[in-house]
Amino acid sequence: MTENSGNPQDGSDNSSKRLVKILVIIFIGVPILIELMTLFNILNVQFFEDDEKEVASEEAVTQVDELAEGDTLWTDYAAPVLLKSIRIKVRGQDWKFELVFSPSDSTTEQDSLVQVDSLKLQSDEILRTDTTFSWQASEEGIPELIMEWKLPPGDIPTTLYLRSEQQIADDSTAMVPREAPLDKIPVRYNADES
Amino acid sequence: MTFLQKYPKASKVAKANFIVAFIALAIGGFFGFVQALHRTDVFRGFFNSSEYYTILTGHGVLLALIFTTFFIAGLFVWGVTRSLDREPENMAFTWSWFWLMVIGLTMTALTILAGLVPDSSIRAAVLYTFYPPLQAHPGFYIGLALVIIASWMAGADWFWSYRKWRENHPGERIPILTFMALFTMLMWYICTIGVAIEVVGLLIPWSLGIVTEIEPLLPRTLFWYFGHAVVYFWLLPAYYVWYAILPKLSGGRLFSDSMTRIVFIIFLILSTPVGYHHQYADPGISVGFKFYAMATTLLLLLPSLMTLFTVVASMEHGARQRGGKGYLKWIGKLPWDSPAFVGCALAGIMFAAGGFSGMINASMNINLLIHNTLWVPGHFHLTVGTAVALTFMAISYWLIPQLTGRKLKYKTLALIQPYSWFLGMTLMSNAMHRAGLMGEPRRTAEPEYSGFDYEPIFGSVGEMQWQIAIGGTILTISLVLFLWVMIGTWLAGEKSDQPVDDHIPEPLSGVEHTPAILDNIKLWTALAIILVLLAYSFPLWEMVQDGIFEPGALPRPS
Repeated sequence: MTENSGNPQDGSDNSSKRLVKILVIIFIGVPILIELMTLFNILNVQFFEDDEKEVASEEAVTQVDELAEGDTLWTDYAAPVLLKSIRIKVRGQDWKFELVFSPSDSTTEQDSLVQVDSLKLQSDEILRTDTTFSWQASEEGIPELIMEWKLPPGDIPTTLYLRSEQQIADDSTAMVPREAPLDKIPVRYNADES
Repeated sequence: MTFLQKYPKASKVAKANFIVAFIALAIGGFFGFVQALHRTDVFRGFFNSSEYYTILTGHGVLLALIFTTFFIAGLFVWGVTRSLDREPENMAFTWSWFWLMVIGLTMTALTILAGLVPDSSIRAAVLYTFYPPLQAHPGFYIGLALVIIASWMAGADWFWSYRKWRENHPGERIPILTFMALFTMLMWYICTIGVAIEVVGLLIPWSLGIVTEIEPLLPRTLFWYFGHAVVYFWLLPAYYVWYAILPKLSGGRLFSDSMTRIVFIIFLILSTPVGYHHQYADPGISVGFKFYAMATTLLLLLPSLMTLFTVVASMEHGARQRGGKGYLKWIGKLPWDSPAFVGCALAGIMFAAGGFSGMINASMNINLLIHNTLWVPGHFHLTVGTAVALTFMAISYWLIPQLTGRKLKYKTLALIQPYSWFLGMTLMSNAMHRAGLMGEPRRTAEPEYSGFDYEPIFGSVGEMQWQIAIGGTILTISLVLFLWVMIGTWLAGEKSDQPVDDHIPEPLSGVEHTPAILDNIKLWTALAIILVLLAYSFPLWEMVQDGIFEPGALPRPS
């Protein structure tokens, strides 16, 4: 095997040639293949798959409205409810999920009631609660419902199941359910407990 | 007669530098291996995530600063001695810079490694781009300052040899091996001014508690004044090998002496005034100055493209001397069974890929897509991690026999080594680039987030992580092969009066065709200094005007 000279290779050194062939095929051929596959995939995504993904995501947006801070529920009813705040608070291994509801219209003359049934997490675990929040129009100030759940560390809520008592016809009321998928939830680390 | 027999004193110094370089390579390489497994979550048992920055600092400093500097010193001792045909002028002075470098390196390395000792108060987990707000133990900065001062002395040693040679050879052209070494060191002198001011003027007083408040923008700017040019301090010795030795390994001759000199002159002029392209995301620097840096950075593509042409032309000449014919068939006639040739050639091929991803980094707007992502280490593992490191390893197969008087041992392993490095680096770097495009951050021990999923362009995150881990493992195996071959050769290689064919033929277009102005060291140095002043004086003045020396001042004038 030549080490460093400019002399032509010895044609009879078959094992050396075979080794070089194997090395070139595997150790240069495979990298070239990897790079070509990368190029192909990038071009494929750029020119052919990108439009499909955009259409799909647009459709997804129109089909499902994810609940985020500042959104209002039961907007078609007389007593819409505002999601004033949604947070995950982390201190060490302690994870807490906090929701704050209030009437959407602070000048409403409508009494109302909101019941939060349960919460679904990323791991598909369901956290139940039977918290009920009600306010009356005659109350002074802006009533707030603050709810807190202890979460398994790292497990993020994905869906909220709740109901609200709403006027549906003349004088009758009913509990109108909502299954609200949750948007990305802000996570606060070492937030001061207020 | 070998180099060892002709120049025994220089051989000893060169070997000492290579030994230190290889030890740094071994430790730094091991750190890289455990990092690759850790951040990909393939295996996190080597260390805690809280120690990641210590490991990363060790990997970066030992490889990018220590391995490179010591190897370059050994390479230039060889090149200057051989081309000027004279031993170093004063061995006491030569050994003094070597030992000063070793003392500095030891201080720096100990402060880094102390971070792995439980309850140690000594830490230097500041990464190899050392600037505030991360603060290291003073020993880290003092050690690095000693390394830099010693490197200045090394350069002075080679200029001394040149001056003495000139006294006996008035009117002769500077031999190309010395020319390239001197111009590399001139660039080094200019670019280390920034980091010297940063370390001695700012970081050492800050780490000693003499200064309690420090504004990060100025030390960052001074670091990056140095930080881009340092990559050329690494790269130019690789070009040194590609220009001076690779043509010979290919069986041919260097295509053009003047092209070689022109390339090194361009790097001297343009390497330093581009530092702001590492600070595109920094506040406090006007976008106009960043734009100027972008323009000069893109100009740096020119000498690399010239190198591509000259080196490939030289290799083609060699292949045709060996019987190669046709437009591309001559490639098959190159000595693909020569470890030194293969390493240099594959390093050059990989450098082209790294250069193209560098164009993305250099472009101010699209840089923001990959800023601080894993794309960036993906890029520099192609450039310094392969173009430089693999070239250094490859040329060791040719140099160490000359310095030890022993033939290369374990030639089959030596041949497999550069090929395996190429495969491992392709796997690892390819996945790093892709991970960067999906936003995976660099310098992060556990880049997974709760409630957040990366969106790869194609493939899966798990597949990318495994690709990085497998690539890193192959690289580690390749590194072990290299170290095994070196140890075997050094200790047990067959002794020989001619362990390698060390003859380097004259270039095809020789120095007689090279304009004399190219050897005008003063002219090109002056031009380099002017460009640096143009690039940095206005932005630094702007920083001072904005109150950088007044802690608590508004970041911009109100």
